[in-house]
Amino acid sequence: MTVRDTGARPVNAPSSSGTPARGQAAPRPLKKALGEIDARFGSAGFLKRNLNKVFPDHWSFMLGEIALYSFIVLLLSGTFLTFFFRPGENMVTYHGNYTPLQGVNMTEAFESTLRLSFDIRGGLVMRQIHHWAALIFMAAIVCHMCRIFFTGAFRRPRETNWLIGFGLMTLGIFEGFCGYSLPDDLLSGTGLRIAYGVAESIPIVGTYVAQFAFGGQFPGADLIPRLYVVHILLIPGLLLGLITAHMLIMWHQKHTQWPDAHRNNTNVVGAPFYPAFMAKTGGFFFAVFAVISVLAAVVQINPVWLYGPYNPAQVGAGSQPDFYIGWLEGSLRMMPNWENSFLGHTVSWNVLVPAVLLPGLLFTVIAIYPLVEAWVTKDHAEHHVCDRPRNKPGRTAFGSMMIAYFAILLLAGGNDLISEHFHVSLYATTWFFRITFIVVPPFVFWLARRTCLGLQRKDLHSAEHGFETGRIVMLPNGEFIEVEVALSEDRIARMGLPYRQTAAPALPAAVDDHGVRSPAHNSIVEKVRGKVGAFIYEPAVEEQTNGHETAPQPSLTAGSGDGRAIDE
Amino acid sequence: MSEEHTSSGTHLTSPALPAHGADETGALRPPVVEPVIRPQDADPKRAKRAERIIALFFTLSAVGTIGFVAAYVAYHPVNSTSETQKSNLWLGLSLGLTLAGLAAGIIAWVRWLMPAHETLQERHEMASSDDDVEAAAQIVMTGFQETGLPRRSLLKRTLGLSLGLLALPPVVLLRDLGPLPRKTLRTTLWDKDSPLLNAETGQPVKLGDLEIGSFTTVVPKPVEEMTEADYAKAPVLLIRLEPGINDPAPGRENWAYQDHVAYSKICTHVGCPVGLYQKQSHKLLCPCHQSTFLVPQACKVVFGPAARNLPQLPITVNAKGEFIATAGFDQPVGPSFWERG
Repeated sequence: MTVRDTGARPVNAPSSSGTPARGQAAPRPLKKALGEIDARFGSAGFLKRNLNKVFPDHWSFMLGEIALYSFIVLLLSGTFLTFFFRPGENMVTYHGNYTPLQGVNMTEAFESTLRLSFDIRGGLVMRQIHHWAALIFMAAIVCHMCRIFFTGAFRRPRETNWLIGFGLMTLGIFEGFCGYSLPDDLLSGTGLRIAYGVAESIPIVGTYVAQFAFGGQFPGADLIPRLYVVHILLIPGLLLGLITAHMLIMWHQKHTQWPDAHRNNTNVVGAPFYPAFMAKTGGFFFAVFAVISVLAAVVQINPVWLYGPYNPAQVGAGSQPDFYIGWLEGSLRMMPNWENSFLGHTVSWNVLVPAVLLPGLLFTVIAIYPLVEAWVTKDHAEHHVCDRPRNKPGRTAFGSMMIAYFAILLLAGGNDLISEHFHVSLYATTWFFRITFIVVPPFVFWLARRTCLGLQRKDLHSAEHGFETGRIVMLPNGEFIEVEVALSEDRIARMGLPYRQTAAPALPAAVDDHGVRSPAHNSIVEKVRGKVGAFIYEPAVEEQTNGHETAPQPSLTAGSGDGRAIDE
Repeated sequence: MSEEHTSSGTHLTSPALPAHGADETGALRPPVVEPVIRPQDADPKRAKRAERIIALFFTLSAVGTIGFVAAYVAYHPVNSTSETQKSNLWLGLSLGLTLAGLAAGIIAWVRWLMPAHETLQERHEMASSDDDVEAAAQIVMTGFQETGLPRRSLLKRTLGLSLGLLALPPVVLLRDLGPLPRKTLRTTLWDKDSPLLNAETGQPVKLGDLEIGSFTTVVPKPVEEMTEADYAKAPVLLIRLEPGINDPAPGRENWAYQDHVAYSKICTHVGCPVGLYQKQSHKLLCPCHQSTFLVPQACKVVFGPAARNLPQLPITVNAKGEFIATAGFDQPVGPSFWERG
């Protein structure tokens, strides 16, 4: 319904648009109320600044909001669940509404989960809302992190918020695992059995870690009550604190924005917080909650009554954890069966590598990436304009490779279902994923970088020559040309050409202009930095051979400085 | 935290709009850079229609809430899962309508009736002036000097000792989170003469109970009489193989009894129950990570991440024709651990 007036013609805002040139006089009661508050807190200056805070608008900025709002849904629905759930390990006999399990012995935890689902009105829908909200929470966090990564929104000054966000994601995984383990059903009990086995594989301290965490040998007498307090108090408290810090830092540093004709590194363009952004984001909370409610109504999730109570002698075929744990499951499944014994000790590489070392490595890479990129590219300037992924081929390629690793691990976690549905041998699927895990991510790196460079060339071309209309015209002298229409200034500005990746700084010369030997030139650290920079961040450059000049206008390459053509 | 400065990096299109110098010149709102004029901004009729649609959304939301209360009252789950399902469906859908109505109404209200102009605010570098940074550093250092710590080394050392030791109580307190592992992971309830009881019924399994090619899960004591920890290590699979195909490992020639073999059901990978027996190929498959064990050849690993054979339980049949163990396991059951050797 919106018609954008993009012309530069001055327009007077009609009175109905609600933007008064001068302030609207406030009624006395409002003035009095604000005055009373201000007299106590000096809040007028704060309100003046913050109600006017400008927030840029783009669909990709919504992903973090989805995470935030599903967290609120988790708090609300989770509180309801605590009124009825009993985290007990004592055995009781079930006498509830769910007839197939009548008279079956089970723990209080499982019994109260059934009671909550079948005897408490609204209990099942709240449980399903809680589980769906958790899945959406984690999915939104992952998407939000990808958005931050591929647009370079983690760069200075936002490195701290990247680390906080990383902490939120990691805590979210633990929180989810603790939560779905609470009902003590057959599926989640199997997950705990695996967790115990993973803890046991840690060299030297493994058995201590396992027995201290579980309160003894598996299944452990204290586990469910401990998971409960971790799930409803400890981690939510940490999440709440970190989310608050995350939001306050974002607020203080102001949001990043996509480049266009008006937006640059020294401003922020968008809607004022009050009322437009505030109302829209509030409406968006209801939208997220609505989607979760409808999912809870129509799509069954985690039907623990079908799995039955946990029994260490039983297991269900096709057991799958939730997706944010599923990649670990895949990692365990595809690992070859290596194990060493020496001097009376055993190291289970078959568990330690896929479930402890590999996740540790992948997560460390995610956490420190912003520091590594800044170190390699020596880019320590402030950035507030989002990078288009194509304009940073090295980073985009690296991120795509990381996604490929996780995606393959996740798919390998479902190798039994894949082999069943597609009628291929289980062992063949496992081998397929083993090879894929080694081969495909580097290929994805190469492919993503090529794609980015190709898209950059296309942008540079259309910025200079305009849009190829496909209309062929014959000139009076008989020459055929294709009509090209110049792109608008705003369209070109949106390409973010001045923000394109430049080569990482090379090693300093061995001897500087004054004949002084450079200590950095022979430093191993600098050499590593130079090599990594050359490999990841420097696009290979090659002369154009088709005679088609793609070198951009100098004005378009203010950030890159060299204005040379990019190709690989 | 002053946020607006006058230096503008962009061209403001309309001097007629409240554009310049958001605070210094007294303008109340951030300046508009891109005015957006929609049909409803000029035409009150269109604006009124938008308002009516938004009102419809809010009304739908109210209807949803009434529906929610109605669904709560209407469905009493009593001895019937279908009532629970109906309750779940209608509670969820009506709540969804309530929330979706609100969401659609508010978002439409913002997009259709509130101003759609792009407004602008200046950023300024996060970094403070060099003077401020220097002053802050000096304040920190001056305060540190005032504490006397830099020169009073006795104070520094004893305070360090005291604070350092303060880390101990929480660590000490965590000691009783669990028992020390000791030898607990090496032992099971299985011992010489332990009966092989059916895990479901608690009855001894007799020779002839199992048909050729079938298997059952057995335990040394009725499940109710074992602790959870003992039960978790106890499950054993008793399998009756086809005659003559069992190929016992050296030294284990008398561990089977008339084609019946018994192996720990706890996977040597991470401890899932090895629950799937493929009768044709005589393989045991762990459904968790697909470790596969070849039963006639001492349950050796033929595929998957498990590194060790399933431990074998030596069995025989007593005078009453019931299966019993002739010894306990000769190795720890379940996943590997550092002290296992």
